[in-house]
Amino acid sequence: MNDISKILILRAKIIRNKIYAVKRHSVLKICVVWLMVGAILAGTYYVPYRAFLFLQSMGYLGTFIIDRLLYLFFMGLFIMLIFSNCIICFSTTFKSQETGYLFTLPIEYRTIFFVKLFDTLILSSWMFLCFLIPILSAYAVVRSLAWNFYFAMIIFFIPFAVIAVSIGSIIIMLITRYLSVRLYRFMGMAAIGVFIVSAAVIIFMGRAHQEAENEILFLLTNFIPHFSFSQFAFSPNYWICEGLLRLIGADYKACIFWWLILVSNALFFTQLAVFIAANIYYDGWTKSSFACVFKIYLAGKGFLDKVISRATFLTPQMRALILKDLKTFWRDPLQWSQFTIFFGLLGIYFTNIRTLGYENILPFWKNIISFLNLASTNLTLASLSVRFVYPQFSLEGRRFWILGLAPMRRGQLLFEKFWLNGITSLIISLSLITISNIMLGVHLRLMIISELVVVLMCFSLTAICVGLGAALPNFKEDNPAQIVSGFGGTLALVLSLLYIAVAVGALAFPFHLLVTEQISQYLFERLLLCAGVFIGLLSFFSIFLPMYFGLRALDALEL
Amino acid sequence: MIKIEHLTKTFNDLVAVDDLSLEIPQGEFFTFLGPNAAGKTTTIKSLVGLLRPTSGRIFVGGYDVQKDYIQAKALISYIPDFPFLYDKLTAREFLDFVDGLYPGRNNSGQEALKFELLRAFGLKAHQDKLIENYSHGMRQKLVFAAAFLHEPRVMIIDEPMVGLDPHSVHLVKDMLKKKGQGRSDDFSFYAHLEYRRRIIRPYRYYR
Repeated sequence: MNDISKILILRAKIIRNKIYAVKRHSVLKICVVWLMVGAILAGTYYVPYRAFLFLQSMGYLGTFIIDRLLYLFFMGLFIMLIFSNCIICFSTTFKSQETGYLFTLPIEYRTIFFVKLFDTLILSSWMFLCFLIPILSAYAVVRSLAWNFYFAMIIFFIPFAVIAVSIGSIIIMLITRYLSVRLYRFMGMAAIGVFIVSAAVIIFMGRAHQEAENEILFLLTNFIPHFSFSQFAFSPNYWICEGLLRLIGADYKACIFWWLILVSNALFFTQLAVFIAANIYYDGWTKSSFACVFKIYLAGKGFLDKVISRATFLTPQMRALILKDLKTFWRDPLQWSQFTIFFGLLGIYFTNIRTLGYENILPFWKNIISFLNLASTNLTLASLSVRFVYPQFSLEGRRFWILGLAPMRRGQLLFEKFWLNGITSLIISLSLITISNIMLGVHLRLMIISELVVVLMCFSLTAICVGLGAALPNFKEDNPAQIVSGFGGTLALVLSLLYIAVAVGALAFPFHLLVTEQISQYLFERLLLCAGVFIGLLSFFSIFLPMYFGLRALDALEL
Repeated sequence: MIKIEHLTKTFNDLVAVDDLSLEIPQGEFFTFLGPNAAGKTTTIKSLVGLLRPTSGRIFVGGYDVQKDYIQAKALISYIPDFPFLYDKLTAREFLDFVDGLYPGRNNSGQEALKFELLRAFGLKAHQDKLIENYSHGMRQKLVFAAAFLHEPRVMIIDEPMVGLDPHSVHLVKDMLKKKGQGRSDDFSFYAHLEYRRRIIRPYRYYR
């Protein structure tokens, strides 16, 4: 038995033990988890299903647009996979404690790397696969495709994901081996800047900016031309799309050809990654593990120190906690780079609404887009809150002795995190929604209402994540991604999504009825008031209940 | 200074501490000795308020650790066996952070004390570097420095000398001795056997 098999068997045993450990949880908890997973998957299926159905109803042009969207979808998926792989590869291949142990064993470096590559592949791809299956299933149902499509989407995804993981690992190996941390920070910021500017340039390219008589013409003239770059013939997203579309057209030879293109590239990039690993992986690991980067941080001299020290309306304990949290966040590029990318992309999209010609569309669609922008901002906020705010208490875990000893009420800690995260997300979300509303040229009333809703949503989403983070902490994990993927993180995500869906739906409903002329202005005013009261109550309970349970759990916390 | 009344702590079916009562006067060095899993750390964690007793009460300086925990904790410093710290802060920033958690002290006096503690523990040269770059011993020294920062009346140390180099071991012992001699209401409270002959008089053995 070779070394790879031995380590993979060890992995299988760990997974088996984890499954046994799950059995020890209560049946109710397991059922709740499965129900939540089922609800997320059903939502992931239903929303694209309705969208595909709508486009399909437009006949041949609709099918054409759906197929173009498929290219765009896989391009986005490929970029996200590489990005996700870079982050996960760094933690599994370089920062994992197990790596150090494996290097003490008589195993070839490339073997260790191969095992780590396998870990990265599994960790980075399973979530994408979970979302890919319902979305493509919706596509298959709408287009009434045969069973072989469902089989093919898995078979095509595997080499597609392998290419992404190999490229991601090569990028990380080269960065870790050849870039100093200071240079890495600079390069990281530069890369984010280049990424955002490139996205802006791509969206600006080929600006059509034409008036459109109906939705189809709008999509064809203003939307689709912007995304022709997603059909670049030398990209894996093009190969996977071509393969699947050829399968739909019953051109099996071409389908197999594109699959073989994917497989051969997957093998090539894996070989390339293993070859590079044989030469630089160990050096990169030693550099990242033992090279001490003694950057000097003068306490009390930084911008944050000066700002927080002036906030004398806060207690010294609050100031100390806020300063600690802000510095910890700012000094971890992995944290803020994800924030910057996601909100940066939303910012680009909102500032380019006019380039896309959205302000020229019919009022009905303008309304829909305005609410979709509100929903997308809050969905991004929700996913980032779950990713970054929820694990904050769990990450305090082993350090909680410092706070647990302090002569202060534990609730202070909860409120510090609530206000700090709530105000930060409010500043970002409010700016984005204001840009969106101005660019769309929506009515002042809608602008004010949507911004009030953003205020409520920011604090509600923060409370859900802070409260549940304190109520259901995981002190055994130091990896935020692992903490989020547990029961509490999934619950926080589901509750956040549910809250957004209900709140945005409640707000959009009266506007939809008014624009489609189903109700009078008088009834609209009454309905809008009811919606406002409903969202207010919903937000109150979304803030109060998680914070209450969080406070109770924190008071009872033992370490 | 410390009074434990019928302390019992259970974890599900496991009885970690069973009806422990003791009283420790001011100015006393006191140690818990015993085999692994005897309940020493559980007692210590209950004493500093990190664990809630299943039954019984604990008083520090006359304050109930569960009811009057703010007053009680203001008197205590605790040094755990493994120092998990905030890796993205520097030593100076960590001391500033701990200082902020124990308010009500003279600012200029505290700055001088931080300077002195960092110098005494040999961390002056590293004070502005991130803790993530520190060795285990350096982290332990930083925790000791932070523990002396708010001039506690009760110092509780779990496995006190783990990770410290010989020089720092001497330094810590000297500081504890000075504290004990200088003010009669200071004392140290251990869960370790190794150094008892030098600095510890009374001790309690657990079975």
